[in-house]
Amino acid sequence: MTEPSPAMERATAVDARPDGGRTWLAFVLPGAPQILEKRWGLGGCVVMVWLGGLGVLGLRWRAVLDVGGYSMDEWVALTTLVLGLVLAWGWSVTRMRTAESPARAEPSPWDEARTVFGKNRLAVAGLLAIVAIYLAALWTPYLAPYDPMADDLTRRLMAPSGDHLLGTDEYGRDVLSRLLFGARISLSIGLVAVAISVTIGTILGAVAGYIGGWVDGLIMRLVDLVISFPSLVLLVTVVALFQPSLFVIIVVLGLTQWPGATRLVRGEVLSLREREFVLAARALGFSRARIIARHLLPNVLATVIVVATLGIGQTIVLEAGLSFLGLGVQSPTPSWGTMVNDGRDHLTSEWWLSTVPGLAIVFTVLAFNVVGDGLRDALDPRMRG
Amino acid sequence: MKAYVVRRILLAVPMALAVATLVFLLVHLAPGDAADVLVRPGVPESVAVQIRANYGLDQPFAVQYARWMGSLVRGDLAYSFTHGRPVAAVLAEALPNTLLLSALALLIAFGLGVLVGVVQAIKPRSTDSVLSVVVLVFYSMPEFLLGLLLILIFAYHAPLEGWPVRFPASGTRSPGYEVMDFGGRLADRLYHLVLPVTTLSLVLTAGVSRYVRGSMLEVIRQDFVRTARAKGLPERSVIWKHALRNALTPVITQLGLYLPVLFGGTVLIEAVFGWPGMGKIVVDAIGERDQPVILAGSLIFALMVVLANLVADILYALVDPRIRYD
Amino acid sequence: MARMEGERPVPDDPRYGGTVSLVYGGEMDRGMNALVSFSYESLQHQAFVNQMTLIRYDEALEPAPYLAASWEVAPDTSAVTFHLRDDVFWHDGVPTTAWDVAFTYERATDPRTAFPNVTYFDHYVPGSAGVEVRDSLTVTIRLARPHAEFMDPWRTFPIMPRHLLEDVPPDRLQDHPFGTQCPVGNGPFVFVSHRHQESWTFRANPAFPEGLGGRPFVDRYVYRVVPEPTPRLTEILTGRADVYVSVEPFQARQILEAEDVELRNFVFRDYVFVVWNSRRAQLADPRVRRALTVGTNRAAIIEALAEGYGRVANSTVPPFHWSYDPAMEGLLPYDPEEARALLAEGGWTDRDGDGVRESADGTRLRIGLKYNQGNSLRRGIAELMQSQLAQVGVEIVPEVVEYTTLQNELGDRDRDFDGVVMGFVNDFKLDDRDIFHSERVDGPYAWSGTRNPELDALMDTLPLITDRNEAIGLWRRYQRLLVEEQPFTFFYFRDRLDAVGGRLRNARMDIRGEWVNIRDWWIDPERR
Repeated sequence: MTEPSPAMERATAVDARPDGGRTWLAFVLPGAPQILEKRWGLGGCVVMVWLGGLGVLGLRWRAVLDVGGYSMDEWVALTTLVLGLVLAWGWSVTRMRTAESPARAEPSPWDEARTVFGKNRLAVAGLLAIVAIYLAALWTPYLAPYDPMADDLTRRLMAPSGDHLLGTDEYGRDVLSRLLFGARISLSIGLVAVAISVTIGTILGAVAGYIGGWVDGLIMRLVDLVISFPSLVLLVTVVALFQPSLFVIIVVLGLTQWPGATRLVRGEVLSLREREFVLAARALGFSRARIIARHLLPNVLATVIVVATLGIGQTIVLEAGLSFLGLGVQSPTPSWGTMVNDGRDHLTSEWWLSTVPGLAIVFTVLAFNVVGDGLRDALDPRMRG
Repeated sequence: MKAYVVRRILLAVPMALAVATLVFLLVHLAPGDAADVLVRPGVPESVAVQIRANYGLDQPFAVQYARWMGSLVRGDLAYSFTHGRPVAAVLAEALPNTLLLSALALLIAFGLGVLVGVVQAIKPRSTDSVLSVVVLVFYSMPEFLLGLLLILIFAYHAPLEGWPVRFPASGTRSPGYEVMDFGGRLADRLYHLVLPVTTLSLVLTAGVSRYVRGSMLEVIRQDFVRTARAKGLPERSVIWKHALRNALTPVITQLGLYLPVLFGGTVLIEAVFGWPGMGKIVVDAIGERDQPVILAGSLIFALMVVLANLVADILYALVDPRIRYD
Repeated sequence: MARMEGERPVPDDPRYGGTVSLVYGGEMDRGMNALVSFSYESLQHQAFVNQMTLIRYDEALEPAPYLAASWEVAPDTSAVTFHLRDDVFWHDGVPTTAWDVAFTYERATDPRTAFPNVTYFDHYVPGSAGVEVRDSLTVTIRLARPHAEFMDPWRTFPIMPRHLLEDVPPDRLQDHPFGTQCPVGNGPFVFVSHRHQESWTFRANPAFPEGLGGRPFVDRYVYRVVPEPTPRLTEILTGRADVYVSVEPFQARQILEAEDVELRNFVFRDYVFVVWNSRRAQLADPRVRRALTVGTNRAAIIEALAEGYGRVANSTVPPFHWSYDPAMEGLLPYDPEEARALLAEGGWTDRDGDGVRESADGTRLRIGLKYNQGNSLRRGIAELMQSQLAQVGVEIVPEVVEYTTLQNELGDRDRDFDGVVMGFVNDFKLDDRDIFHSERVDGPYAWSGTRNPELDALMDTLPLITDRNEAIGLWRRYQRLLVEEQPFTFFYFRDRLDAVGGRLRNARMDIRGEWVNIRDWWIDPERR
């Protein structure tokens, strides 16, 4: 949860009248008061954490309390579960006791952005979807009814039923459990790979755009080189040389995707370069590094955020494609792309094996894209001023 | 500007060569070679040794590289290890398949994308929102998944249920192609192109339309549009002639970024539909360590991408006067 | 390209006519050039479709005349003389003669050619010293030493046209366009065109000898390369293909349910096994290897992964071999108790309670199991062995390796593997010396590192005994000995599954291959 800005404090302060009904609600159902105020995004997230956490605790309390056989995975799940519940409740309660109206400060661009974003229903829905997927991924050890790797030859290729909500695959493994674990893998690959590529891309793009000259030329030639390198060759060789572990795939994806960010950031910086605040900073004698770091980068931040968000969606699709070709995550590890590939041969008879993970990919990527679009709409016009 | 372009063009060739050299190095690093594909009991080691000698694989890396560079300079792309045919012939068959697929898909995507984008920009919010969601779904869909679904519906269920609309699941031509007349052949080629092109173009259309929509929205707000309306010009002309022309300029620059898709970006589609294009050829060659094919394919891919990037940058500069190339 | 001399009119028989199409997953790499190719589909097309072999096997797997009208074997089996038919012509009109046979043989045994199947002629005298042309239709080939199945290579080794290929240097044969762009054969079908990764088109050869049946019934034959199993299934079910070679086991049910498609099922030549590297400490003890075999429920795995289309294997001797002992199939059944007992006997017990056994000096019973990427059957075996053997205290660690990389590792003397899931295609001539003989234990195929003098003796003696009655006892002993030694966990002999569409008649498919009688295939005239 972010630091409350003056605008937000103002908003909540105005509505936090000592109102019996609302107070009670804040204690019992964190996030509900915010929803009543039509702050769907914020309220929705908190409600999901609260209800989801309670739901898991309630339905799977036996699994939760069986601390004896805990693996690392399960410790993380337990921690996030407890932490989530505590934070949600604590936030809701403290929010309720906020002081009265502070000075009517001028809303910052960030607040304006937040308001615009909040009005975009689709984007908010996407945000909630992402939070939901993340919660599911975090609490998978409790949510997954079966061990995703546990095969059972007597229950192969079963259609969805009460026992196995999404059926079983060709080794008798529960598809739902594999789907949940697949979420973790696809999400972590997406996040980390994009973090790497956007970081590299932004720095190089800013440097290229601002400094120009031969540095720009060099960096853009490097961009050309990376783009024109057949990443397939790299990937197959990597797969042949090393066992294609999660780490390797993330690194490869990160190192081949940065040119996109570089170009966009460079374009932005080229436009910003001639603006007054930059000229002023230059006149004041600030070093180039300082100008880049403290004046240019914060202004391209908006673009970077949008690029990153959309990039996560793209990377998830890319990873799925690689796994589909057999070059990415290897069976039995259940990445969604691998699951689609595994189910491919059974497409005509057990079509859910490929379709379900496929839909999961579409849904997740859709959520990220919708949020990315929303961010772009919210941030771009504001930032350009 | 001209000097810049000339410089970039001159750089393109060594750039492509640099890429191909890196690929050569990588392939060399990977364990196994073309002779290993033959290894099984019953094949004496002497055969593997002889095969390596016949292909020059027993030479040190530097010698192999020099040989390859030498033949490249002479315009000779050597012979494929796996297929026993000149690499030029292999590529001459694969490249047109890929180009046909992607060029058609790009054309459709562009046309349809502009249409959808403009419609979204001028129609009321409700239509825009609905279209947005549809576009987003296709934008978020992995192309291989879409391909699989289309195969399932139109190539498997359609014929078995007796629907009139059905398409083949793979290949570029039917078995009886040779004996068809010209009209029949044309129809057969189109028939086999429908599913792969549909898959590729749906995904691309989504991307293009998003961009067109954004661009159109910006342009419509501008003064000259209001002026045109004030002058009493019919709305249709205002939108489709004046506004669109201005909105398309940045979109065209984006086209440059789509050009790399033309070459080798169709790997997934080719894998799903068994379409014998560049992507499939190169991926198979990698698995079989067919060096000459891998190298030639990478070289062509790199060359095309570098040139496409150059075109994109030129277009970008032509459009945005703030960008200077000194 | 090919012009027929004296084209004969098509007889007045309704069976003549039509185009038959067949789908398979493999592209015939080097095409019709037998001297440099090795894939199953290439060999089949060379032997049955486009070219001719000297002899062929009849349904009882006995040699029958084909290109050779007759032959004589010297009393001491030091030589075999073939008398060729006089009515066979290459598709460009040139007659096929003994010179073609001599040329092909010399090239095949020339080391520079790097003929992959050169061990066909192991027991023959190589080069021009081993072949003598008596006259244009008579040729003698000399044997260096006798062998029980010495005629086998001539069944699968097609004769190539000397007049087109003799000027090609042997080490450049693999690049010659003859293979994939302009092959000229003398068989029932003439090459028309080839589109890479898509199709090969052939047409009927009107000049095919009347004595062998004459012109094929169908007008054209199209071989279609379809890399994915699902489209292959679609093609046969929708009638766009007449034959689907090598149906995947899980597709069999849909074929059976389809009305107009017939499923062919017969024992075949390939089998799947797990190689154990007994040079490794954990695998040196035969009791451990035996425990691994009985600790795996092979029958259930076959049922699950191959829908039961196959039978459990316990040696390298396949079910179609004349010496196959049917009792072999029931040996080493799944018995986790026995596995546990064997492991305990070998000194492996779980000393630290983590579920995995250790030896006295603390080494964990951890065994890596490699398999190649892209083969779901082998992957399934590895994963299922992992979970089943975990129940008897063995930690199996599956590891997927890219195909060519694994091939490379298998041939490497470092032998950096514990276990590998592999597949293999048998010939009718069975020779395991490369794999098991102690003399070749440093060779590239001695994966198991077996040194068993009795096995050696059997492998040396068996090829020399031509009398089957004499040999059968030894063959039976060989099979049992492999069970005792357990160098591999043999898994199963696969059944072949093919699908044939309703409009194709008289297509016979058996262990000799799917194309064995393509000359006799005909299409229902009502459904052309």
